Amino acid sequence: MQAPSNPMFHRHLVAAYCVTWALQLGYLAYVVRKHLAGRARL
Amino acid sequence: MKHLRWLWLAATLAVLANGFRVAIFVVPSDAEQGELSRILYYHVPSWAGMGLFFALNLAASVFYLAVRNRTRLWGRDAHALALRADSIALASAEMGVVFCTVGLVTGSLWGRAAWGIWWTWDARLTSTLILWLIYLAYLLLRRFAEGPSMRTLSAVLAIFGYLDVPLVYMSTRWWRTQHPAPVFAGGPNSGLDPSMMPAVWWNLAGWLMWGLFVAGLRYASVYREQQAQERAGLRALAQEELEPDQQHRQLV
Repeated sequence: MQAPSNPMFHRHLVAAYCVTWALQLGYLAYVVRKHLAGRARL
Repeated sequence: MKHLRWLWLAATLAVLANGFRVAIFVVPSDAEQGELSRILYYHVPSWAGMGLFFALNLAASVFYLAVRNRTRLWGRDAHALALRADSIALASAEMGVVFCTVGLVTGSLWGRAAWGIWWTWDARLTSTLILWLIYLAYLLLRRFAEGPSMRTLSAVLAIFGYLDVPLVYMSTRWWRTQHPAPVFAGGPNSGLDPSMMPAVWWNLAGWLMWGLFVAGLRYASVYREQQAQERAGLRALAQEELEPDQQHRQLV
């Protein structure tokens, strides 16, 4: 069977892009939570 | 300032969206690795981000150590400047660790697909893991200790920790182990095909802009927290000074 040529079907590639976004968005969520908690304390 | 922040975020997301489009749908795949090579467009910017933010952490730590005991600097309150530098150091260390984690995980996924293994104790991978652990120790120190001595200690740790960064960079030049030879600035036969470069530039710009946005937001909240701690400390000192006087009055 021929491998699919669409990059969106390459599971390691998809996993790498998803993990990147998950880690970056996860950290952004932490930063925003801290930011809002700090502002609420003022 | 707030508008500028939102504008920066909008521009960052637009650059990242275009970076994704160019990386997946526009540039050609590699002749040897096929579609898998497109991991490079997220893998390399994460190392660039790590390099930038650890360098920023180093600069802020050196500045903190240089000015922490001074009263005035450039006609401004040196203590406030030192606090700002310390906040920059923490925000940039966190951002650098996030980029380093992304680089390690995407590299591991790439390794699994290309070499058949998730991990190997190769010079580049090992030195990077050590770097990650050093900065994790730095963040743990900052999380579980408090006060000016913690800031001084963490600044010193940051300087020693950064010594591993050139080692990571040079590891693929000094030792030929599992990790491929450097693609960028690696010598006469290194480099990507020019047709692939737009994906590198777009994603590099997008992720660095993203890093600056998130680290900027984190810096603002860390600095605010530092100021609140300073005020609480001063209040406690004032209270201590007041107490003996109150005790004296009670005795009289």
